[in-house]
Amino acid sequence: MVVLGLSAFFHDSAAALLVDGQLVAAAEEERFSGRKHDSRFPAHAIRFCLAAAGLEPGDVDYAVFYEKPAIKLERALATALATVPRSADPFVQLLTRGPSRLAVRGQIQAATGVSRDRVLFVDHHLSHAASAFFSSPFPQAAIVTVDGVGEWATTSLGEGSGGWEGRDACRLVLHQTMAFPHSLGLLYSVFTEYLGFEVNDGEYKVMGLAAYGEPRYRDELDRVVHLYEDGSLWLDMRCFAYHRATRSGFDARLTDLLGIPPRRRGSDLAIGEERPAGELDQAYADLAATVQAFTEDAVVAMARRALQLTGRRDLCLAGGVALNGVANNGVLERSGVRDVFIPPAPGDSGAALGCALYAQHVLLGRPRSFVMEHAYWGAGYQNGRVVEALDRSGHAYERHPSQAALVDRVAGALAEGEVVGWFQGRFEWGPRALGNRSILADPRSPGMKERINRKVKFREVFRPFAPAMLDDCAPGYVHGRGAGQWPARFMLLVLPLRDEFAGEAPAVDHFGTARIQTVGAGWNPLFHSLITSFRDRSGLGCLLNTSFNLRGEPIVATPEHAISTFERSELDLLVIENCVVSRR
Amino acid sequence: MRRRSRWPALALYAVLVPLGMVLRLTTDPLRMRRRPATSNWQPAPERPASIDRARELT
Repeated sequence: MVVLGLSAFFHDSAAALLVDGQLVAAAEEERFSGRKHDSRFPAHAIRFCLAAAGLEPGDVDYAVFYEKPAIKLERALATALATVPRSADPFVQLLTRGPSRLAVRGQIQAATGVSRDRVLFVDHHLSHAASAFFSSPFPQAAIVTVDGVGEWATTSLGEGSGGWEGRDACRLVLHQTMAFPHSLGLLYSVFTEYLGFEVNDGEYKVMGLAAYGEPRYRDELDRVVHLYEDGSLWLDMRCFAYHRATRSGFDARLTDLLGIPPRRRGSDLAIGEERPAGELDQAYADLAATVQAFTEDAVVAMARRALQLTGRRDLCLAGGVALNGVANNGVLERSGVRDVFIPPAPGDSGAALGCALYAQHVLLGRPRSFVMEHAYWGAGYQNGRVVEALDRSGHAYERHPSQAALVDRVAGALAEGEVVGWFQGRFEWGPRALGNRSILADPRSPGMKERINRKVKFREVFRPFAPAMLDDCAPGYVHGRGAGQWPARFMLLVLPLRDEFAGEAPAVDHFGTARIQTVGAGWNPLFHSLITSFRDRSGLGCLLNTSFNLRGEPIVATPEHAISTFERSELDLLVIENCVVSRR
Repeated sequence: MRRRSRWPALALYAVLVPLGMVLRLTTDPLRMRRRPATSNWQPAPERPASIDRARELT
């Protein structure tokens, strides 16, 4: 049984392919098109998935889309009508784009070769829920999905059940939802825009900025957003505009209430620099801290509610808000949950896999046989292609005949302070670089954070970096029980650091916390060997790990893109498979 | 590429404004007007988990 899942037309379009219930390939369209957060129909990603399985378009049994387009249009129309006369722009957008959205079935048929009755549509939040539950190791679990908006739902609480080997039928049910426009995801996006960052891209910058501030605006925020004890929200829409406008998500009333103007996108933000922050910049950091603290409280309350509603002890989280690692750790520590699972692509791209899994297990009744042990489901490149690309580039390079020699060479360079572009195997599914398309460095160096931000990635100085740590070292480096949890291997938890580790690894210390990645020999043996070799030299079982890309670009996918990124940055070393290019 | 005219959509909008105004006065589909007393959760819509329904766009 070949099932292809697809997401498209909002942001991060993607494709994911299941063959007999096993994930074979999954990738975001942006990695092939070079356009960050590409929302167009994922034609390249489909071609890649089929090729990875050795299939042709006609071999697909079912193609599944991650939402119900007609219900989404119904919501857009109802919203436009409910907000007249101020909804002219969204109404025009609805009429100009709507018909093409309804034509998606034909597009899918053309790209996959499936017949009309084998194109399926799964509700958006069911797709999110399935992406988490059917990738998890749990036989039963409560589920919380939180994003901007799907068809109508912005948040859902539900549960999944169904074991492996067909013992129990697979079941996935949503019990309660919160409906548009009352949305935690859209609230976070409004403040992302308010703070001068790009919506659907800069949300994690808000999380990073929050650490520099104090939640001084909580009273103001509580006046416009009511958080009920049961985790639901009600937004006073007089202060927001995303339901009736296409250009801006907030109303002038919000500015009046906060008493600080929205930050102009691209303007200087003196946070995290040697000079003291100005009053206004500090206010922006305080606003970020307020929104972040509110989000944590809301997600924890939602998780508590889901556990209470279902009587389950384990929890699956999905939706774009599940990328918020600080809130995720709040769930772990404050909701009463036993174990948490979050897939490596919890956002809209991951819903492509979710709708395929939902079709496989619920609609087609096939038993479970898959757990998302790792995130390396993207394209990989044979050594011949790598050598060809390097030869064409004109760079001199060394080839290392054995993995041990390669690891020894690179660990030595890292210990000497070199910054390394590391390109190995298949690229990652989801937005995090987890050791196959990573920029790596020695976290012991106090100046390393600023150097990589300024000279390698060309981005804001306040942005933190993640530590990738050996799984058996992690409990000695961080507080709490997060190090042993699944989301840690996908870099989805921000945890408090132990003082000794924070002192030893200042480049990854963000106010005593870090968004950690645990690395095990079982799910990435080469990366594990590299960190082990670095530990043998330095005494520290951890490397600074950030995504292999430049500001505004998707993470590199191909050897050619990696070489081009190396040429345009101040990386010291480029490692592609067993080939090493040195700038020194 | 030729830009699509916005006039037909705007004309339709002008027709629908009165309808929208009536709806706004008589209903509150987005639950914007009054804050619910104790919770904003709603029961999830009951829809069959069937392949027939999955074939539909709705």
